[in-house]
Amino acid sequence: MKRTAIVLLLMLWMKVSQAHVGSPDVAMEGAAGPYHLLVSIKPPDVIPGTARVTVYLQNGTDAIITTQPVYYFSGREGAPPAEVLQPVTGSPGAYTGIVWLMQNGSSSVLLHVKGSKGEGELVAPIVAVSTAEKKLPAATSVSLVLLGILLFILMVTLIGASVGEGITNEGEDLSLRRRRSRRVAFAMAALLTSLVVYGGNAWWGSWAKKYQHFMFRPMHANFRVDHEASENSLVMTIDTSDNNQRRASLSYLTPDHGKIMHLFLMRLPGLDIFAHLHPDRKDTAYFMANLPPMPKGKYLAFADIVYSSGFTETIRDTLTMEEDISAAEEPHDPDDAYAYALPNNLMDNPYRNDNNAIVCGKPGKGVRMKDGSEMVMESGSAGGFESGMLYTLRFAVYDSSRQPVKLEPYLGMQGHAVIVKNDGSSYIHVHPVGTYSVTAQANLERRIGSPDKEYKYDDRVRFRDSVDQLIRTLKGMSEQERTGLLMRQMNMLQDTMGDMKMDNSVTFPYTFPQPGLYRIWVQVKRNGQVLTAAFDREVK
Amino acid sequence: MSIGLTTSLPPSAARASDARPVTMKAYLPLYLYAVSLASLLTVTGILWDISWHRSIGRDKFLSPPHILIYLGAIFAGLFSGIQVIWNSIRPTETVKASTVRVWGIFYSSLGALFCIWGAIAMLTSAPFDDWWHSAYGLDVTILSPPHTLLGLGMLFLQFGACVGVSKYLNTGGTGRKGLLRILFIVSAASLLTMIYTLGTEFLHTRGMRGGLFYIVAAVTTLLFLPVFGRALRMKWGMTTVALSYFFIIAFSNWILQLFPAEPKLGPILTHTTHFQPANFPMLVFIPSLLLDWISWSWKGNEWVKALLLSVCFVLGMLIVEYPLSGWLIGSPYARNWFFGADSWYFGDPPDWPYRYKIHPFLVSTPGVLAVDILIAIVIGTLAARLSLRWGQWLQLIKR
Repeated sequence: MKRTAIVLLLMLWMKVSQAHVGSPDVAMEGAAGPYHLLVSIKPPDVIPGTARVTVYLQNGTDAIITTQPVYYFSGREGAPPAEVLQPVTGSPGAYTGIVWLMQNGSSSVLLHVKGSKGEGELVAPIVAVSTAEKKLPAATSVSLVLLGILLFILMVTLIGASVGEGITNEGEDLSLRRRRSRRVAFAMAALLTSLVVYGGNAWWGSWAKKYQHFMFRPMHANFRVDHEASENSLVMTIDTSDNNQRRASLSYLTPDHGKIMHLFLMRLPGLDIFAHLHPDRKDTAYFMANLPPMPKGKYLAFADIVYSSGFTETIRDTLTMEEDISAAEEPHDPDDAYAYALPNNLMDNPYRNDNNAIVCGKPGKGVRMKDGSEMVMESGSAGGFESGMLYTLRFAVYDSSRQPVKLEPYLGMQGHAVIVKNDGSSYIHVHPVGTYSVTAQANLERRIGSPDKEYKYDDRVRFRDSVDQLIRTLKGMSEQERTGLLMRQMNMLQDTMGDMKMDNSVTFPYTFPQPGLYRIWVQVKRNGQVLTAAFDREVK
Repeated sequence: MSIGLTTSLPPSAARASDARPVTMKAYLPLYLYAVSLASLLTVTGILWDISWHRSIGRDKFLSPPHILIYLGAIFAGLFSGIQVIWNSIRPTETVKASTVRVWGIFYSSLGALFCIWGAIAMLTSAPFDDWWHSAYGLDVTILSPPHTLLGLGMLFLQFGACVGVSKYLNTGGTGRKGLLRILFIVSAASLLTMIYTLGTEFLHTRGMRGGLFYIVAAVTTLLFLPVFGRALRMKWGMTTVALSYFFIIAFSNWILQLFPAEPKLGPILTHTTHFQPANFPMLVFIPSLLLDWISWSWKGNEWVKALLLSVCFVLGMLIVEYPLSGWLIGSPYARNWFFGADSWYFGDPPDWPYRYKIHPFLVSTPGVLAVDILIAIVIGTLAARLSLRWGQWLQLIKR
């Protein structure tokens, strides 16, 4: 009974969540057996709806690619039959098609590729949620109103005719009595039809209200600097006051890259201060982190979390620091990092003596990072970027003598990037494999391998305790051990990162959602040190 | 083109119109055949569409059942519309005498007006529904505002067909009463099937042990069957319409399950291989025998007649359907092509504990059931009284 209740709670909760902020498209790079794929998925903004899936086969053009929507809840056994993607005319190696997503929740697109090289599969996680409220297009609205008026008039006419001429003998004129009845009928019909229209409109309104109720509502959090604990202690409390089910579901958080949460802070309005932190979970909705040295101001906060179902979500809020943080305490997580990004046209550098200060890169100009090496953006400079197009953003790192350097894995990846629009309306935490969470993918892969039709959730307290224990174990490991374990857990070596080479470059597949000015924060690791660079790019 | 109205002219009108010779043994307007057929097409399309959603799950705007439904709308609208335009271009005295004048320029039969309203409503629902899907999701529900507009359009189309035929049944003289009755029964049974389909949420087999089923069944049936009985002027009119409803559903069920259909929407918790039939149709024709008997044997007060109709219908349904529902759900002998009791929605788990028994939640206690039966009789009486009056009106249709 209790378990059933938890499942119901989760299903209810999943109706009101989502992952990316303003950047819903999934871009991924991965391997399906011997095939290397670049995948772009445009999820629907209304559920039930259809996702557009486009696959670019990187090695070969002769394969048959099929897709299947697989939900975490019902698994592969509960998935509809696979359907073949159609080749895109004029684009060899490109295939496209649609996938129907009928329910809210954690889902995936299972791609199966078969060709002369053999066959293989790739799982692309999708968060299926309704995010859009649509208005009637003007043309449809006008035609519906006109047809409605016609129907109204015709209805009144035919009711009048029904008590008048319709029951009058052929060839006879309407009697005075019938004329009166007809007039009454006209009035009654107009009144009743108006009532029906009014009722219909109210019904429509209640339908829209119900839809809004189940629409995505982003979770928010309260942030405060707890000076009593220490000078730089940040306390984050996820706001679940409007929905107790959300609180229950938070027990099913699962670590992504070994961290229960990835928190990004960026100061408004210029996005000049950046911090990537990994708060500790103190209780279900209560997290703590030690802040790096940060000047006072208002910050955008984006906290990425992943649930055991593969459902990913970004909690979005702001926090205001009344005073400068001097960072008396050491960061409690060795993978925390921060940087000050200065505009590339700045004349006077207020952080001249701080090696965490970097000058933003612009087309044709790299970024000098805190260890003296330089990161260069090697894509997109020619014609600029266009929104809605899938790009592979490429960054390379050189030492002071312009020689390529060898990068090290950072949180189990060649690098991490955060791409944010200058007004904060679009945010994404992207990896070399794509915009999705690798943990979500691994969990969905496990679920797809399971024969169960309906997923039975674990006891939530036991699950949360086991995750906390895992994180403690990871923290106690050496960096090398931890990286190795994370990569094994995420199937890195066997699957998506089969061709992961640690050289001087890192790439991120991404589709800019809308035109505007974007800041791209890129983080890599070299000589045990996390290096951050920032680039500004305009998207048309 | 066999669009003509001279066919049914009574002698009085014939005298008024001496421009053309009037043949008493004449033909029926083509639009009458068209709208009767359209009534059947649309309701068959709806039954197919519901089975499609239960068996395949997803569709698109031009899926075969949708084509059938909209074909019905176009068919009825086109034939009725052409009839009106034809009459209005060169309105002869005969036409003027035998039709309804609309907005001072059009001449139409009353039935065609209903059909035109229905066809416009159905076609209006198409872009509305398309937008609805994009705004609120690709729905799998029967009752949404655009679907209701579509349903209303279909009901008007089917009722328009009844009105259109009634004109000829009332004015007589065609010598083709048998054919007219067939056309009427087809349209009326289609309308009744449509009404029951719209009320599926309350009129399903598992609901037959709850009081609400009898209240909804009484309202829907007694509001329409007596109308049809009166309009048809047949000894067993209501029974024939009810039996025709039975066969529309039964034949749809028997035919649909012959064709393969595979679910294409996740989650698929039960794998099915063929179109899943709807519930076994209600045996409305059994209490209808009583209704017909009362109709022609009772000569007294109309309110008492309505009460008798309601009592007989509600109790008749209770005696027939209450035990039948348990047998249909529970008995392995019902799980065959004839009764279709093994029909199952792919999104439901096959091992649902109440698959072969009625959930206690759906079973009313004897006390509650008794009260609901009384309510059903009271509401049924009101519906039947209204229906009898409505039937009288249908007997008066002259144009």
